[in-house]
Amino acid sequence: MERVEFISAESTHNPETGERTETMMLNMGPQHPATHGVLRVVLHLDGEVVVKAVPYIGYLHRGIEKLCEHITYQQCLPYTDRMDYLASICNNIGYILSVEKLLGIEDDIPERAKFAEVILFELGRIESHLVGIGTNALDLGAMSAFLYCFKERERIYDILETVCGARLTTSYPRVGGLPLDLPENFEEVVGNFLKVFPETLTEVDKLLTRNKIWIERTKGVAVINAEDAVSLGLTGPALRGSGVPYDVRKAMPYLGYENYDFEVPVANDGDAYARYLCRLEEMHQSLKIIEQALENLPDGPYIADLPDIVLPEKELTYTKMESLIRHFVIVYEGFKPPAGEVQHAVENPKGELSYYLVSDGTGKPYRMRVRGPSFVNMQALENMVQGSLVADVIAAIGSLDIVLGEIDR
Amino acid sequence: MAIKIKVMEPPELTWYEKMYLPQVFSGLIITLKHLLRFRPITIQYPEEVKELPPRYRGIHVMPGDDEGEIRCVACKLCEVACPTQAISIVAEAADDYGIERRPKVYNIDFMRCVFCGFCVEACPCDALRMGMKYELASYNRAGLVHTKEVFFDPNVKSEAPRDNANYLYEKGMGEILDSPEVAEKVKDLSGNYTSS
Ligand code: SF4
Ligand code: SF4
Repeated sequence: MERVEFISAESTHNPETGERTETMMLNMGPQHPATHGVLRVVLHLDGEVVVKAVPYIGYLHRGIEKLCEHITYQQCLPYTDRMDYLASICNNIGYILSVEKLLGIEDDIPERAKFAEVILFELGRIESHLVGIGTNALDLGAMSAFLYCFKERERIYDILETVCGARLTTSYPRVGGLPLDLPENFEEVVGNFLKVFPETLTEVDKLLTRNKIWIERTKGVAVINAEDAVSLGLTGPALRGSGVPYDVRKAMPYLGYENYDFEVPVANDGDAYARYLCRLEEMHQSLKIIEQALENLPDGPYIADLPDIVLPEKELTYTKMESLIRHFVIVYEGFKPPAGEVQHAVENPKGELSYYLVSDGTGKPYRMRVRGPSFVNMQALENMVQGSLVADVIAAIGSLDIVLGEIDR
Repeated sequence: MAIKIKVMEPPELTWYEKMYLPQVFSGLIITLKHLLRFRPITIQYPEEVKELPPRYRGIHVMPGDDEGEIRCVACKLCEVACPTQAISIVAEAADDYGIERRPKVYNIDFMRCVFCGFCVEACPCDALRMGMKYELASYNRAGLVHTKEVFFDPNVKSEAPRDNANYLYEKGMGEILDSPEVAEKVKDLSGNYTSS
């Protein structure tokens, strides 16, 4: 990255008037509430106009990729929670799918687990978009939309809590399926959510979509055209807002997404408003997917019958010698995927999240690499805000919907 | 398969909507509606406590066995399964008690623990469970390392057979575990099992 001079060199001297002007450097963050975490953006300002914006990252770096080289595949799971903590269940499922691909057991995963994962994945997407829209609106002064979004998010957290046992750090699915069957009232609670959620969505829609103030603050702000968006590698709503209909769920379907009937929302303007429209519509589409998955949720086993990979049932561990030995071996050494490498992408709420795993045949990953959507999407910031006003930087960061836990990993 | 695309067009605003005030008022109407049918979703935390689902992963609990002793046999499997190395166990011999080992020290460091529940999944004799408590604040670091006395709750009983499969198989009595109805009765591990 280019080094930023702390005393700006870009000065102009006007010999006639004797005036000397120079751009001013302003630090935004790392403790700025509108940077959604600990992002530091160094702004070079010419008056109110942004000449250059350079994001500085790394304040939340925990070395997750390196840590994962020293623990078994199963133990990596809680670490993936803490990347995109606004949709940790999506990170979990993405990771689990990659490991399943590495093991070559995708076909053995029971249908019930797949459907449940789809439902949880889409709940995670809604949850993340609610934060995305809510905080973007909050930063631009629309407090009530934020509160209603967070109210609904609380309902999703309650569902996740009954299913996974934790609200934020879900760590739920396991390689091979689900560790515990879905709770008995699962269909009921998700059904209730499906009933009450559209109401809030309409409210947010009413508060923002046709609101002149919101439109003025977002329309034509933080524009990125399709060509730049593609060449910067943007994904998710940030790319679809520029008119490129790329969605991993359609392009490289996983978890049986090819069987669901849903549309990919695309807007053409490439501004903050277009991204907002995409997010809002994506929530409607997610509801549609959840409805379909809930309707077809099959009964039956929820974890694959793979003795080498999946822990034996607890009753067997308590009573049978063979199961106990197997239990010890799997916990101690982890399952051992064949040597090789694998890459798997999922459509995280914020974009394409892909895991790259290298196995050397032992129980621990030789290398794990995460391609996080926020990390890549944030590159567009400089492009977006050049020549705009300082206040628009806030709108740009909010509409990119980045999460620093994943950028810094 | 053709990808179904929905193109989102920004709405055309009417002249009425283009004036700022009507939008401000319609926004106020929505918030006012919420005020009128006031259904709080928040809870007054220290006074009211949220009801937790049975799967909640809180501070660990160690169930007791029939004699009111700790069930743990210090196999250290939870220590191995923990992704953050939060658990530390020192074992001691427990010959007097029919099992071979029990923990002398069993500490979980809650500065490291991430409440993933893998230790509970790993425990082969139901000696560890996730509890329902989550209030962990402490004034100092030492207060965040909890010992087995904190986790142990003799009121929590476990239905899992109090077996030691290795022990029984070594004694040549492993086959009793292969029939579930007999396995039910195996509680006394003195080594003098009689099938009568
Ligand atoms: S809950 Fe997870 S982090 Fe905590 S002690 Fe158990 S295995 Fe370790
Ligand atoms: S709690 Fe369970 S897993 Fe941990 S040492 Fe005791 S018996 Fe073994």
